[in-house]
Amino acid sequence: MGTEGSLRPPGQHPCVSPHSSDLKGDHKEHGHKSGGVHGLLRLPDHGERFEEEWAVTQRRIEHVAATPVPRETEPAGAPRLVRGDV
Amino acid sequence: MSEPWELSLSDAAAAIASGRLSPLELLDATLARIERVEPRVQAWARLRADDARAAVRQPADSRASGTRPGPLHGIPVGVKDIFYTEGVETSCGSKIMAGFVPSYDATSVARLRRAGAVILGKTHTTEFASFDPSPARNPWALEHTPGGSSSGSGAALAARMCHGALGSQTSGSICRPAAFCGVVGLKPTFGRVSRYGVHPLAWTLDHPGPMARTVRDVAMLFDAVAGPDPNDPSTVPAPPVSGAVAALDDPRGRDAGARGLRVGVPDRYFTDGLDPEGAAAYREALRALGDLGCRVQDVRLPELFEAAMDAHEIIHNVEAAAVHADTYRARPGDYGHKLRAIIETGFHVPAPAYVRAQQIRTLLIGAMRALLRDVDVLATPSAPGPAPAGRASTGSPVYNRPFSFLGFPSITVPCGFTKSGLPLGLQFGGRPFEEITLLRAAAAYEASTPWSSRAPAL
Repeated sequence: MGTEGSLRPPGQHPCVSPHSSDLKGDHKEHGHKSGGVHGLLRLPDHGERFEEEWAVTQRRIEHVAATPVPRETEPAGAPRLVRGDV
Repeated sequence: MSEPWELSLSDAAAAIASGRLSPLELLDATLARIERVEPRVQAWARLRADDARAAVRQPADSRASGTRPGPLHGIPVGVKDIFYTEGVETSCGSKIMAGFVPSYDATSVARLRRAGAVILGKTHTTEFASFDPSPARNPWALEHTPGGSSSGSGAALAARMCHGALGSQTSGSICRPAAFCGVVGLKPTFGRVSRYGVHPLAWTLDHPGPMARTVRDVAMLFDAVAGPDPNDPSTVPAPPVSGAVAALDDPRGRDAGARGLRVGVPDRYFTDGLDPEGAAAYREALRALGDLGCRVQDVRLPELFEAAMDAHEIIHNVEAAAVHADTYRARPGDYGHKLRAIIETGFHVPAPAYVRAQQIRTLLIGAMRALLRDVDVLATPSAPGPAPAGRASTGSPVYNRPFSFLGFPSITVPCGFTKSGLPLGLQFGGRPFEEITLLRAAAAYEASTPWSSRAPAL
């Protein structure tokens, strides 16, 4: 899925990133996209970065992205379970 | 006779039905109990003693007019403070919701009332049923967490301040506090109990369900609240509820107990990080199930099980972010740190990752259905250990989370105590809509052990 390097901690606009090395090469494009989440949703920038939690979430995204899933698999959403087919 | 507040829900209901105890006597005894222990336990967000007294008088009026009292007639219950209660503040453990008074009851609250239960008040929840703790304490050790998010429900039951309670589980919020507090919690199949009027944490993971002191008590509450509700589409295609109490009381089923039940013991995950006392209690519980005539056998979890647990967290965070987007935008400072972290990370998960997580869910549901052809239930520890010390954390939901992700039912029943006197739980998980199989297994186990009869010294 190519998430490596393109995801930033919540609230972390590239202009204020403490990890500027992460941004080399794709600063403009991805900075615009991911830094824009707060802007797009009109969320406040309260200065918190949640870097530890984001690192965990990023690992989870990568794990999920790396798990083989047949293309025809329908997303579960809210389960609509019926009895009798076990 | 025991003090009325000491009676199990089933025994109290039987005493009321036979005329040996009046609902008012039970209510008065329970309120006196609350007065004595609540200052230390802090299980209640708000008590409604006057409303409860008025409710106790109502059925007597109904009886005079020939209406038959319901099976929960006069039974005092607590309701987690994310369930809407008509005319009673529902603040969800949050500054955001302080002062919110719903104009209607959640479906499960309305059904409890219809069955004759008396709503004593609202029990504490962690903030929005997430991870920022509530003021509730563990009655077995007041400096330990009661678990979460149904913290107050677990604590109130253990402290004998009510006879039944409603909880809800998105990851482990029924089974974890029930296990930490030494009571029984049933997380029903997704779609079995209506979510209508229950403040959402994550729509596709939220499960309302009953908590009580014994398996039969939980079955009585389950019979009252389960069933289709046009206000919650997920409940509509569910098969009819077929009487959990009747199934437990059926002499053939009761005599058979758990004999012949195929009990699966997962090869991994459910013992990762399990502490030594928890491991010893789990081994002993499996041995006891064998003694009851269960066929205990090892099962291999599907390969994608661990990826699925990561998928659970992605779905949880994204849906929580969506639930709270509007209020978070306006009042971010009124959210606790743990929920803020969930919301913020949820906002930044790429949409395709969320969809893929839901695809993995489809795959795991299929794989676990297949696994549950070979066994009738899975038996696991309910938590990696007893309630942790301190109240900053509500403990880990990792062993409960798989059944929330799957939507399959699960139940926890006390299975022992640590040397320091903290309760431990045994969890059963099973096939969709086969709650009765879980109740049967848990009831047989409970009847063969002394754990459920213990009460904390308060």
